Amino acid sequence: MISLMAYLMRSYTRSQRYFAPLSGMVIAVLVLYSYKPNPVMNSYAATAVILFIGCAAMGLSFLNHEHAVQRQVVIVHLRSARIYSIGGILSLTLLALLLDVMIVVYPMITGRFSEPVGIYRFLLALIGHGLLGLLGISISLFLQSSWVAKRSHAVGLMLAIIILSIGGTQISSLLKGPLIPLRLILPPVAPVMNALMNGDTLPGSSMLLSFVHVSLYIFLLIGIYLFRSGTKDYSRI
Amino acid sequence: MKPNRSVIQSPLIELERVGKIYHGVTVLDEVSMNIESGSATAIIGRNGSGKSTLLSILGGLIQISNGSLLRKDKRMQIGYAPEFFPPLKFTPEEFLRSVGRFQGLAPKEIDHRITELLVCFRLESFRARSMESFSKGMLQKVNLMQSMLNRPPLLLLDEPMSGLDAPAQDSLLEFVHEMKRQGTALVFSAHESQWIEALADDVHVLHAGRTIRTVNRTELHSSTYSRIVFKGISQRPDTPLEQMPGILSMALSKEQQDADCLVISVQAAECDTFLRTILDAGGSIISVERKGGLSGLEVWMNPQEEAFKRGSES
Repeated sequence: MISLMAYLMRSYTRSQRYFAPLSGMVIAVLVLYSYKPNPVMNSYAATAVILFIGCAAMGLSFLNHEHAVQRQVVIVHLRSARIYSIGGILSLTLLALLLDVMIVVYPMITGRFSEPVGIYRFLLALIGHGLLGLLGISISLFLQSSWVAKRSHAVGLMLAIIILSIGGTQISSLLKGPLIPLRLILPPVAPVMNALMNGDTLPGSSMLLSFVHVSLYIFLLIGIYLFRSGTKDYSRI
Repeated sequence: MKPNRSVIQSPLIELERVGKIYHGVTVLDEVSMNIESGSATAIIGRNGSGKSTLLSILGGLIQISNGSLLRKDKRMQIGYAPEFFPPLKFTPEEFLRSVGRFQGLAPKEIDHRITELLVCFRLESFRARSMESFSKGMLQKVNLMQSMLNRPPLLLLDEPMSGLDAPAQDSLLEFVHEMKRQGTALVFSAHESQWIEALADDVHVLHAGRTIRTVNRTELHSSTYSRIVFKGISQRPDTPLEQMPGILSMALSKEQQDADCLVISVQAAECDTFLRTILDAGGSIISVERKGGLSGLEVWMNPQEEAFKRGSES
């Protein structure tokens, strides 16, 4: 698995497709912290959403960077399309966690906050960023070119999902009566965002519930993806 | 008496009436074949006949829509060289090293095997150059090398000669022969009759996704002969045709209306001598057909040549 991840990382970095999503994230974070002082948890809520959007875009660019024939050859050597898919997910998880740490630590070491962060808020920020990063990646899995053939459709779908995710609280309040179960389909970005913003006052149980909710959502998406990736065709187109 | 297990070997892969449907279009229909260790199966057919789809199914890349596919060992190592190999942003050495690691080979073994293959395909001087600048033939060599790196028990080659120069074709044939002798099962698609004649034990002819003919090793390796239909010999040759070396049979032609039409079957190597003798004796040739071996299959192996022939005829 390590050799597969190293190969995929090398292939991705050489494709230079990481440049657009990475530079987008860096610019957004730098603009956010361009003035100081900043409120700790509100800033972290904003950067967690930036990481969610950035990871969704990075996931899509990572999953589309290989030529279809290159992927076919690697799958045959690995003797399993599922192992290949797991390697891709783990590589993206590693990238997301690296970005998570960098985005959380950057304002602390450059003194962008109005007050000390403290261990509790630091841990909350790490977990919140990590989960939203993974959520972005999980969504991108279903929008790669071997799943959605037209690139324009994939980008359009991703933007629609991002809008629905960020506006989840308002959209949920509009879903009433028999439509209430539809709330569960919405990617749970808003609950994590709210939990981070109110991290100082929210009870630990409510915080935990938000994190468990998003974790289950991620596991479900990855589980469906891995199941389907073992039964689908890998053609050269 | 119980059968000896070591003697009776089950095939590596058994396909039974396998079909593949893409978006409602049948691309493969009721194809059956057994792939055994040390055997070589050639798949021939025109473009779009389903050759690449069949190889992808054997490689586990495409799921079948109907029929059954049984593998002796579900984790069997397979070497697969697709028809086209993209110009990757890797050097051949980097890519082959990654492939070796995927297969769990030891670093020393990977080094040894990479060097052996680079020498065999005359690509040593390009081992550290990015494949982005490679020609089609060079990419095809890397493609073949990655498929053979671990001497897999099953090797799938999709038009392996495509883009290769003559020395590389010879090296490849020699290399593949050696792997076959060591027990590797080969399944390949090709348009080159010399490759099929030199290597194949069985030939499957695909047309519109269906097997329209199979040629087994006995038929394939039976000696070829020529069937000459002629008439009007006015002078008696010095040596009568029926006494010339290479004659197999001689009879009156039942297919022609003329009563003096004769048909002879001669060894392929002696065909020219017989034709010359008939013409020298004032006879006229009505038809010459090659029989046995791969004769009759050329139309499925060289579609471009066939198209050229048809064009020039019209």
